Amino acid sequence: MEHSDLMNSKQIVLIKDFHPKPYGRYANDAPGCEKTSGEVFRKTILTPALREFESVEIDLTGYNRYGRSFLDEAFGGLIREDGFSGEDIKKRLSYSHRDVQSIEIVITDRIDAAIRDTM
Amino acid sequence: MRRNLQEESRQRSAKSLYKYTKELKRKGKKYNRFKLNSSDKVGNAIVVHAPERISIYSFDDSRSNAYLDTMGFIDEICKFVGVTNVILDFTQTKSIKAAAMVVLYSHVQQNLVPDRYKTTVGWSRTSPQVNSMLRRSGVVRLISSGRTFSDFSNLKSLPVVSGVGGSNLDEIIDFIQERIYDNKMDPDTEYKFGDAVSETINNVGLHAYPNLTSDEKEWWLTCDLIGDQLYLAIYDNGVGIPNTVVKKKWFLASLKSSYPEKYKEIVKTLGDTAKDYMLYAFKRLKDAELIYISMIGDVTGTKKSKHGQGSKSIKALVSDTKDGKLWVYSNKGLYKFEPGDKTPQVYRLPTKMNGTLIQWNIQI
Repeated sequence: MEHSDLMNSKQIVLIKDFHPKPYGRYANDAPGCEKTSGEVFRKTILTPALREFESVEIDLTGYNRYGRSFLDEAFGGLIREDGFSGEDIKKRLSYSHRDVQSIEIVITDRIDAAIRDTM
Repeated sequence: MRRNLQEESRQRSAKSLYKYTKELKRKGKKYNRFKLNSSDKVGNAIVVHAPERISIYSFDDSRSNAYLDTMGFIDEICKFVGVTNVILDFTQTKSIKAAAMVVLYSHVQQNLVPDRYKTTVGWSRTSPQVNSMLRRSGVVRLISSGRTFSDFSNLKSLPVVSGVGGSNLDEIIDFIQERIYDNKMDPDTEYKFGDAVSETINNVGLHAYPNLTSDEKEWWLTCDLIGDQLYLAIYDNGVGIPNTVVKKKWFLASLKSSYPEKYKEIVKTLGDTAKDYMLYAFKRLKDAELIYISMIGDVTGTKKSKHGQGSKSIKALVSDTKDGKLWVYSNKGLYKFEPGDKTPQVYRLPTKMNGTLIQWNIQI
């Protein structure tokens, strides 16, 4: 599917549209992770949105305690696991956290690391 | 009726314990870490004597080795608690450090069989602080009721908290934010705490207990504020970092990056066709060196970028803190990181600590 065929844009508020307390990398990390992990967020929300919409914006505001492995699996996993190219992700995905800039920096770092892995 | 009988029984036990501890008269008797069984029997209970100092920090002073004494005490807890009636005798104990307390607590919890054998506490005669620590940690409540701590409301101090996966994570960070930082924690600091604690307990689930189901992979946490220093420690009683790090796909790349001479020696000895580099490396490297390898984070060119995320988060909590310190104990190794140091220090412990303990010292 060409990007021009996709619907325009989608905004996802992570704590509202996914879980108020995201935790864990994989669905089977611990009891409860089937609802809270980065893998589940990517598989059930992020990847489907990127397949349906031309651009996707993730708002991570409202929770300040994201673990690095959640962020890595959710965002780096788009490239490592779900077959998106780095170029595509950089062009169509945006993310923000109003209060903690470090969270945005970690997401960029994990996407860049995943791009390096696939080169 | 049953409750009355239980209450009478409890009072009788309390009286008996008082009598026992009065009778102990251990003045001048020192804890002997080299004696395999340094416990006495009083009535139908074994008395397990706690050392003067319960601490894991001092292990290289031949005159006073608190680490060895503490590990000896924990060994005896494992040997007797849940097997027979036990009096944990703290009468001669003068100090208890928080990190040692969390290790002690976990072993008491894991061994207790409250329905079958009675365990009681002999209070310190010399240190009110020790008795306060025993109460605050929740170990007395655990021993008397068999129940672990679960109610976070209206807490002045945090007892040892246990959990699996991300359970209690937010309550712990809430406590640090509200009680330790007096609700003045900025969002960046909150992120660093959340990330470090979250990644540490996630690592417990991923690595510490390879043979247990996810709801059995337990961790214990303690959080204590002394002056302006926050002591935060998380312990698991799993197989230890040295046993898991060698099984990772990125291990050899990390070994090459951190100990190039040892890597060369291993390759030279085994040749290109050797199948079991990892087992060989495990035998050739000390536990502390294996912890060091696990803590180095991303290694360029490994194509395993997932590796090291936990260690980055664990180190980040002390990296931006004045006088911050990170300690990682696992099996017979200790890794110590202070942000001012060029290279983290590694030490060989005189005896094994089962599992892994990660401790942060943070100036508030």
